[in-house]
Amino acid sequence: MKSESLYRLERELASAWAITKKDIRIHYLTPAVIMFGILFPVFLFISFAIGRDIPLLELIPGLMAITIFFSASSTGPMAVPTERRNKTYDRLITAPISPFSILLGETLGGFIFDDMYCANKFRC
Amino acid sequence: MGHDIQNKPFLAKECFGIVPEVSNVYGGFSAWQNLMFAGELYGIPIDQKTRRADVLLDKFGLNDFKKKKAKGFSKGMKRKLTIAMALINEPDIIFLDEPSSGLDVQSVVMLREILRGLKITGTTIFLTTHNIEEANIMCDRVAIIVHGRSAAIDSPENLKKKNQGTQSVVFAFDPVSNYDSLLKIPEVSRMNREGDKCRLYTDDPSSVFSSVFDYARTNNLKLITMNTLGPSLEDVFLRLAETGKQNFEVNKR
Repeated sequence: MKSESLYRLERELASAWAITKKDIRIHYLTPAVIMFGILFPVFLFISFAIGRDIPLLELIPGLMAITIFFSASSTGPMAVPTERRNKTYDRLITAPISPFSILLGETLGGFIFDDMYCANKFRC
Repeated sequence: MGHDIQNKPFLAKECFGIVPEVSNVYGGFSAWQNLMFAGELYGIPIDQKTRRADVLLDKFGLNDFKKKKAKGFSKGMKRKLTIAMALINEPDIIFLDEPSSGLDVQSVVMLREILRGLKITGTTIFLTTHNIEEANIMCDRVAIIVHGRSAAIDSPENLKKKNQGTQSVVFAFDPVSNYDSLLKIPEVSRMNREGDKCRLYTDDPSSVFSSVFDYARTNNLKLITMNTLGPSLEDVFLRLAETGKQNFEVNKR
């Protein structure tokens, strides 16, 4: 039989994961985030790269940094204020989850999403 | 329920559902996804979650909008979905903050039916409302809160009984007259104009009746309606609010 603390940990992680999935679906797959997180860094990159004699391998770390910087600032920090404004944050704090799990879920969403953006670009 | 919310918030929160004043559904999710997400937060297994969500959507008449995004829902539909989400964990206690505010009459009647159904199944319902009539017809026990303190807790009828002094006589004259001179009747404690009608508060309705008849006769007015009313919960509320306000001011000093 599972101990109470193990059950609790499992529930907390499951809830944090549910919040992560929710954030990705609701807050991150929006036109504004895609524009700012993907297209904007690409254009910035092009403006730096074109007409300069820099090897591609030296430019890629810069592209990654710009992508992470822009996508991170348009995802994670937006989710909680948006939820608070729409009063949906109340739903999370009244659910049987600790504030730490809420924060973990919200952070994990931004983390996964930004990495995904970046990995996609790197692959290209 | 046996769980202290201070020491064991996790266990205590699992037992209740909350419906806040503002419908807090996720606009980017469909009705079904909203219910699934609420289920996930409460750790409900997938088979139970889907079964309950199906029943709730059916009960609240949202089956046709199951896959539609909630941002396109009307205020009433969002309200229904919020209540359905609060019921996904089959709570023992449910807190509703002004559940019927802004709803159309049909939805209010349906909501009352649902709440009565929940009561029959043994759910404890806490309902906060500014609509006194709603409290009168929905609640077994009413607590009147004035300045953050509970001024009275009892059943609506008991509260009315304790305030028998606030009986009233409602009448209307044709043509509509200036009722102010009726305040001179000694038994009348207060007067209210209610549209074309006038309401006189008194401890002795029969004396007020005859005085009003006399007034109508001497001024050549036709009496088109006349009723004696017992104290309403609204009167009880007003009286308690007045006393509560006075006590609050005395304590402040």
